[in-house]
Amino acid sequence: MSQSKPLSSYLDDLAQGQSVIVIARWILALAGIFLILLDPGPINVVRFQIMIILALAVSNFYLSAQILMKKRTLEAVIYGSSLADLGVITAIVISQGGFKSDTFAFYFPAMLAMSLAFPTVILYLYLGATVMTYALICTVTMTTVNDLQVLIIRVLMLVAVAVCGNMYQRIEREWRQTTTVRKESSAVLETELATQS
Amino acid sequence: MQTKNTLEKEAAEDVFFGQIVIIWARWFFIIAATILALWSAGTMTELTITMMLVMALMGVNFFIHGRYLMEKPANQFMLIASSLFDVLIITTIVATWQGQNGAQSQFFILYYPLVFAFSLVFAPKLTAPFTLLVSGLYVLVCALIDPSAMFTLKGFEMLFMRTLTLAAMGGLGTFYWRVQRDRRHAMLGKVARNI
Repeated sequence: MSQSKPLSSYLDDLAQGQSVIVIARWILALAGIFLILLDPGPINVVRFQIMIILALAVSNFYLSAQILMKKRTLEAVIYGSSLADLGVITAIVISQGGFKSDTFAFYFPAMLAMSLAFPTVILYLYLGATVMTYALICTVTMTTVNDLQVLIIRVLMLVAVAVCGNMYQRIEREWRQTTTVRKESSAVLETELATQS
Repeated sequence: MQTKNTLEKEAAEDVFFGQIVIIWARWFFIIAATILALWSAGTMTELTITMMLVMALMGVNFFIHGRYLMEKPANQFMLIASSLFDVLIITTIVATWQGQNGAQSQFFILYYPLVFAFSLVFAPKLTAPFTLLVSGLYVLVCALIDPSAMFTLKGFEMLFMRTLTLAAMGGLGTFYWRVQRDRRHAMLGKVARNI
């Protein structure tokens, strides 16, 4: 069912999905601060981690303010900040030893938010980059063959989340398009029938 | 003000159109289960038992997917029941998989796509208890298998991170579900005004 999809439809999806990205980032920032303070490492590392999290929170505050004021944020800002999220998670994963780090779990809410907001091609570019980077980090830091099995499952589930979110976004868009066309054409038909009678 | 009928119709539409998301989430789970079964089985008996389970899962999903393709999709009850069945299987894997069970198991991530897909299809009144059930079940299994791990700083940190991200899958999905519902209403209102 390939219908023409106007650019405004994608921009609308991005704008509507942006709120999910913002909430996912607040979860990342708050959980990050909590976890850093719960089990602090050396003071210099903690300083660095808190600086990164605060930068994330400040940029997110700006994006939240844009949503609250109902202003449309530049696309590049949304894509750039999402890339920064993935960068932060990856940096933390590397700093915690790669494969053995549990922080990879934060890729899931981040990817979920992107799958609901981004157009398909851009989503899969982000997904591909994330999967390849993470797989590379893990390959270098893995110790047993069974770790490879775990890595495959992790990557597969990340792909599953992205595919499911993207599929739902497209179902919703299609529903809106077909319903609009259906309602409008039935209204035209009713008007014509009324005129004829 | 929305009537009860409108809400019921919307819920039925959600199940009708949205169930393909749950079906695909389950296909991914089946692929993961197949990899686990083929990779980890040490004896023919183990392989036979695990593959029989995978085949059962595939059979159920073929049935639901086939009905969907024939435009006779599964109803709400069947979808909820099959999702609960998936949760049961994942919990069994987390609880019993050789060498790494409970908090040591890395297979808790199998819950994520399932909870996410569920939250996109069903209303918050169903998603909230489902997410709570899955999170609670996971914590319970971890607590039963190794209670001491819960009370160490590392153990608590790990469990906190996992349950938080799991709850985020349900929570963010529900939030988006609401956003889409509002968009639908706004769009229908706009079309009605134009007519």
